[in-house]
Amino acid sequence: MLKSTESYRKGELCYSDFIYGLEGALDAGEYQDKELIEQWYNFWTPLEILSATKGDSTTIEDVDKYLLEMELFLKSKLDFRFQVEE
Amino acid sequence: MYKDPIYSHPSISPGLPETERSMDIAEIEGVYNIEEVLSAESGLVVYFTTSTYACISDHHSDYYIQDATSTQSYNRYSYALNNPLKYTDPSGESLMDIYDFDDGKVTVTAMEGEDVFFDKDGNQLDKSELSADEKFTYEVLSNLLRDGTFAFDKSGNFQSNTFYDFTITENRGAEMRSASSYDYSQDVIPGKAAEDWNYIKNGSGGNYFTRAGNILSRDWNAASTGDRIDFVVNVGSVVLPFIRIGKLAAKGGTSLWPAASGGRTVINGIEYTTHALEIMQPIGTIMRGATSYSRGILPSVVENAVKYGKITPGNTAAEVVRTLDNVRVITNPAGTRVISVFKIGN
Repeated sequence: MLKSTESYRKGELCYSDFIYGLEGALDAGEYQDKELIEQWYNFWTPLEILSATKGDSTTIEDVDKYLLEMELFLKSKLDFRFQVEE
Repeated sequence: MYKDPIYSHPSISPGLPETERSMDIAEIEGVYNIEEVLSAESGLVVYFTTSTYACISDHHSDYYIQDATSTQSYNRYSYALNNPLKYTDPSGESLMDIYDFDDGKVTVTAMEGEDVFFDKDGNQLDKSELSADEKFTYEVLSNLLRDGTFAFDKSGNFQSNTFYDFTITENRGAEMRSASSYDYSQDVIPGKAAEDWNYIKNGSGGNYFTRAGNILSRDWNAASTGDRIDFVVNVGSVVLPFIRIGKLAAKGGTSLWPAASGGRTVINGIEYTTHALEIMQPIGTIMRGATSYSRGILPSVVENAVKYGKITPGNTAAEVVRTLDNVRVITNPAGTRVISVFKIGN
């Protein structure tokens, strides 16, 4: 996830692929901790709202605040070691 | 065992020795619903209804082994596998399923186990000549007939494991696809059982219904992007099966997953964006690479989240987030426009 966030910041991923790649990575992890998953979705929801309202025209400036929060959350949770497939 | 000579009449079992034509009277009563049976030997009269005579006149048909897996096939004296509510036997050769097409105006039949179907006008359909829509419907019907063990009353309440009433009102050319692991029972929201979005799972067939009569199944997902499967169950308490097949416009039916193309769609007074509708499509219908982008979320589930969900702010004043159990819906503040939908923990 952190790697894909980095890829998005570098412009290597379009916004929609980035957003759904994150969710796909969460699904692939098959995590059982419901509280942790809900927390993850709380950080992902603002990103999804931007995807729904602006799509791939979402800019780094639009998303930066939410992206930083997601990154901080991911770094705080050692359980989230998964990465988006390259 | 009591043997009544009247049951040994050649019209009942022609060509057979009298000893084989005799029947146990209790057995006959059980099969033919005889109103009153008394001994002819004692001088009293045996009464039959008209339908009873019709049954008996066909009785010789059951010398055929119609279904080797059914013990009733080996009962010479049972009419139509001892299930006259589901089957008929007009030819005397073999039983048939009873289907009532087109609001009961046309009754056609299909041979049990032979995958024969008819259009609403009663013309037999050849599977090899069916259109894509009809093939799909054909397959759906085959599955329902094979596994069909559903019954609902007029309120959509599950009544028994006896299948006898459903209607396919529309499909849009989707091919049947199997092996989706999605379990629609996840969409049931506890405490809201009286709502029409509650699903009823059939114990053996893996099929699901809403209380409003919408049929769902994890085995029937549209195969290609944009296709959809729209078919609804016509619930009712009648005994005979009621089936429509082929390309039929919805008559009073409701659509489940409306087409996700062409911009906005309004369902039950709520406007959905294309983005939301794409996510709501059945799992596997819209893909991003090898991953299903569609999540299979029903409009009725979204409606409940809009109605009952806990509201939190969105990114801007133009959006709010409504969460009900594991369903999260992004809407405008008034709840009249759905911007996005997703599930927490797919």
